[in-house]
Amino acid sequence: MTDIVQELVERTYEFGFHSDIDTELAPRGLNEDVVRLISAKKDEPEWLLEWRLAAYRHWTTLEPPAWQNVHHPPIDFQDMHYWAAPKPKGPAPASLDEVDPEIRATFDKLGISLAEQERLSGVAVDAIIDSVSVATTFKATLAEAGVIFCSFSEAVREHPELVRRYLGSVVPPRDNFYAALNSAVFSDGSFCFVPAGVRCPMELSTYFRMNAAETGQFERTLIVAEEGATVSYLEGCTAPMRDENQLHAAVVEIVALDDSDVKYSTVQNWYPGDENGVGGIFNFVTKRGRCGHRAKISWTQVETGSAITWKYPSVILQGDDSVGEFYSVAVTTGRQQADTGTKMIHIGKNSRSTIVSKGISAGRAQQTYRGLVKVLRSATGARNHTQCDSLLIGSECGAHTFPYIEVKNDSAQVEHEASTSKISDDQLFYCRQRGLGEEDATSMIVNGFCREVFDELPMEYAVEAHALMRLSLEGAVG
Amino acid sequence: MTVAADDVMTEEAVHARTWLCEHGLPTGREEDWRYTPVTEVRRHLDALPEAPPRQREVTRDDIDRLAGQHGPVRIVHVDGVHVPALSTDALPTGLWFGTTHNLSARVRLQLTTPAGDPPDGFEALNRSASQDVLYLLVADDADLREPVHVVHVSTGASVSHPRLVVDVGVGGRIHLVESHVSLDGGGFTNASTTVRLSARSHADVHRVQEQATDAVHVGRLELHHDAGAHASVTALSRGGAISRLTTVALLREPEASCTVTALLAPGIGARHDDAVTVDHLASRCTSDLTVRSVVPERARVTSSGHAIVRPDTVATVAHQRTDSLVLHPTGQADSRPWLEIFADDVRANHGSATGRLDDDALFYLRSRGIPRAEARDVLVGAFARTLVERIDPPSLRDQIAGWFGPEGTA
Amino acid sequence: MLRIRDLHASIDGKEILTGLDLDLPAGEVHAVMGPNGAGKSTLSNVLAGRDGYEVRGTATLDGTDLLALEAEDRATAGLFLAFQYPMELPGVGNAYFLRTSLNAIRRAHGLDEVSATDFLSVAREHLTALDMDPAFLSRSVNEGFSGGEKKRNEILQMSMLQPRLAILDETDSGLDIDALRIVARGIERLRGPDRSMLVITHYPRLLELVRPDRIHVLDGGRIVRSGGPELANELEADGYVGVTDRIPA
Repeated sequence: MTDIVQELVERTYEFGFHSDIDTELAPRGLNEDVVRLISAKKDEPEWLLEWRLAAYRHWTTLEPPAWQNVHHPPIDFQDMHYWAAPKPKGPAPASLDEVDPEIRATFDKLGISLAEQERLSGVAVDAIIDSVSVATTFKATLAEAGVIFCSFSEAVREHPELVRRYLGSVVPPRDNFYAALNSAVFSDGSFCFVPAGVRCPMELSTYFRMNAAETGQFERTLIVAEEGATVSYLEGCTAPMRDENQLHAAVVEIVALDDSDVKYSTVQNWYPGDENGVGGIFNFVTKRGRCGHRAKISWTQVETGSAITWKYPSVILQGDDSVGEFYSVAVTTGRQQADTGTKMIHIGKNSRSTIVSKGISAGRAQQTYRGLVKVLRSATGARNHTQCDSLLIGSECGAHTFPYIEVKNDSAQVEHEASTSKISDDQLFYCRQRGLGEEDATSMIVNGFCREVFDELPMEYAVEAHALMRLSLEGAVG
Repeated sequence: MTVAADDVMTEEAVHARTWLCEHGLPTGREEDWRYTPVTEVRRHLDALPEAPPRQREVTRDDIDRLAGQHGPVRIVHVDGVHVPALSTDALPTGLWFGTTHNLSARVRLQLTTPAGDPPDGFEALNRSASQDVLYLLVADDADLREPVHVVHVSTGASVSHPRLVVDVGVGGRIHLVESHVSLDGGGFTNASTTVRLSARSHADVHRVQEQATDAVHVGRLELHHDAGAHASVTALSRGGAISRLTTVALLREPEASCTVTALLAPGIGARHDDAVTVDHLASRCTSDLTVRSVVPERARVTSSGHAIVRPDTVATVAHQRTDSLVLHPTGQADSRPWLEIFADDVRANHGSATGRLDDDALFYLRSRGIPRAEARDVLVGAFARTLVERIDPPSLRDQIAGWFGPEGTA
Repeated sequence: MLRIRDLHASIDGKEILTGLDLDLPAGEVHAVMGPNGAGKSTLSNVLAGRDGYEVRGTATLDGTDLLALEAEDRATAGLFLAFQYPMELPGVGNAYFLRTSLNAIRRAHGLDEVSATDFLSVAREHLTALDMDPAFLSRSVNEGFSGGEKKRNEILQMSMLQPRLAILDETDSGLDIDALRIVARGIERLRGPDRSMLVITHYPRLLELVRPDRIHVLDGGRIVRSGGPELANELEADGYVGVTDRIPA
């Protein structure tokens, strides 16, 4: 197994190219002027500037959280840029055809050529490079159904009343250090609104990618599903290779009104740093949704990237009979660190939640599942089932499971099961006896281990997840 | 709080006092103490006098009534002071007993916990303030199957710091029953027991906390395992308005093992916090933790299990299982079953379930004519029984079964 | 076909096989019998290439040195082991597993891979021939299978992979009579001039259904006696102690 671990540690990042797009940078550091600059660049209304400034002022009173089970040198928040926009090489593109060819090429390398997407896949993509949404496809089809899917900036311009009503309603600007920072400086992101009774006619997808050096990326995603609406939202992330660490502190808010159904899937493959732990993304993200009566929010994530991941997609089960789900596969190799999990807050009667977390740790990586299941006194008949399994590959990695279960209602039923083990030698031998090489055998066993989660992904992402998993574990065997 | 005078203080006590002055008692912001109502504990501590105003006479009958009689050897500690008159004179071969006052400095030094800094403020307070530490030594290969019963009595509204150190020689064996009881209410007990297990030794520890319903109890049980040593711990907690028990097993050498069983049955409105850490520091160590709690009206029970598997160890097995039965809508149950694993050759798992009595079972019993309250007792007894049945000696088993009504052992 | 000479195997310094010789010609079915602890499972593990044993001696399959090969290369060379305790592979589909295995073996022989559709139709034929439920294919490998289902799944795999040499390690243990018949039928179907089988068993029961060409008695890590099928009756009557006692000094 030692050779395997060695190879695993030495795997290189496939998406580590760097696009040569002119970018416009804000001066280094953060102060009220930078916040005003960002707001002005985006031509924002006064209320939003005030909202940002309030968040900024609160942020200055906070210390970065230290409770996570991750280690990194302190981040100098005054030594990075808070704004980076691709400089338009002329007037803004009126259609896809006018998008900067370099940007288009970037997407092509990512395998998500916009033109291809538009023609073939039937997936609407809101592509984001660094902070500005450059093109949105399928707007017309969506508009017919009454679905709004656009960049956050556009939403601020075109639908200010919706943004104002829901922004910060699930993740308040004061929620935590990084949420406050994001609220102050968020540059762009996606906005999605599905009106009452509408089933969104296609999967919605955003592809995030970080390009400029030393820029933090702070996108803001807001998804609103009105009564009885249904939407499935996909988010994919990659970033180029760089020696410095880049900070990504995003906020995703989901408002699921009564009887709505929101599915949010993430495949995250950001640059994890090199074998010595140099470079890589710091991925500190706040994701949370709130369910109305009979509403359902389902988070599915496949996380293979980033130097450090820190995120807990959560559901506030406010409505009666509401449902929250969290399906997660996290793979850490090399010197990656991940502290991830979920919170399920049961408030409504008969609210139900399911947590399935599969962690794979290899090389010298450290991975932590951290989860909270909280049943408040009002949540009569609440149910939770949690399954949390960790697989270790190699003797130098770690897998940690830190659940918190707090039950304040006697009628609740809360169950938690967890296990940690290495890939069994017996399973490997069984596969090898059937002619499979060690690498194929490991990959097969790991994919089987994750199957419950992959089954939750939309089809096109499930394929990608399998491939990513294989890539992550490449050289892990054989 | 006052601290024992320097002339009777061991080096350990002096060090602990210095540490305590620097670090103070824990706060609820510390992860290990987030579920303990530390503020209330400290308030209670500050309000009480350190020494009892006047030690009320404790009789043999009091001990029998409060703690029971669980073996031929009984050692009684009243408000942290050894009382020879209430204790057994004759000790079996292979068992040696002493206290701070009759131990030479050299022996005391040998028995002093090797660790430097106290792990937390309450332990530091205990080390610095305990006036009369009890020492039990089991000779190499001595096989003490008859229980040794140590009874700590709190006489009333004062603070006591009972401290017990048990050292089991190579291949030795002891069965220890430790009872914490109250003569009168309102006291604060800050207890600490350390059991050092030499190679291939075996300790069976039953720790019973049955103090007054308005008492505050903070306890620590620490086990140090050498190679091949095994400890079986059964913690039985019922008393106290607030009760916090920290159990730490340090499996320091290969093939050490421990099983920890806890049964938590607080009274109405009480807070019980049970925290068990098993640290697998060497290879081929195994641990098994089972906790059951019964949570009545307005009570809150927290059960934390923390299994740590250190780097470069192999063939570790670590199991945890926590079940909480909430009896009333105002009861609360928390659990925190943690695994922290730094080596791959490990089989670790934990399971936890929280719920109330099974309505169908309750209905079934009632349909057979059993009144609701009684049916409830039967089911609660059944929930506790799997753990109660394993209690030894039988006299103690019967005593604990009595917590769950007459059906407890049925 | 299979030729074993002076095979020794130890685990953790303890010698289990102590100089074993065995010849299994093409087209024959041999049984290896022996008491518990005789080294039966060690023999099958060592031949199949399980890690953890210290091995010396020789074992060749059609002249190929088996001991020099990795486990998967022995499989592609035509060696199949029906496990005594088939592993559960949670989340790995049975059909997917078997097709991956089949294609790995075909690739090694320079053959084209079998498509999912072709695979399924072939698999269905085998299932029918073995009187097995097609639902087998859509379940995870051995997960939640009963003991009998696991053994039948091994026979199905053997039947599809068409090995040169099949080693059946106590495939009959823990089976009821119906499952035993299916296993026996699977073995009989595979009997052929180009294939050899080594049936390792503790009980003579299976040998009533599968008539071996020869029987070897394994004890103390080597073959202590060999004979025709009638040896099974002797074992039935006298037990291992009786049979091994009569070995001439």
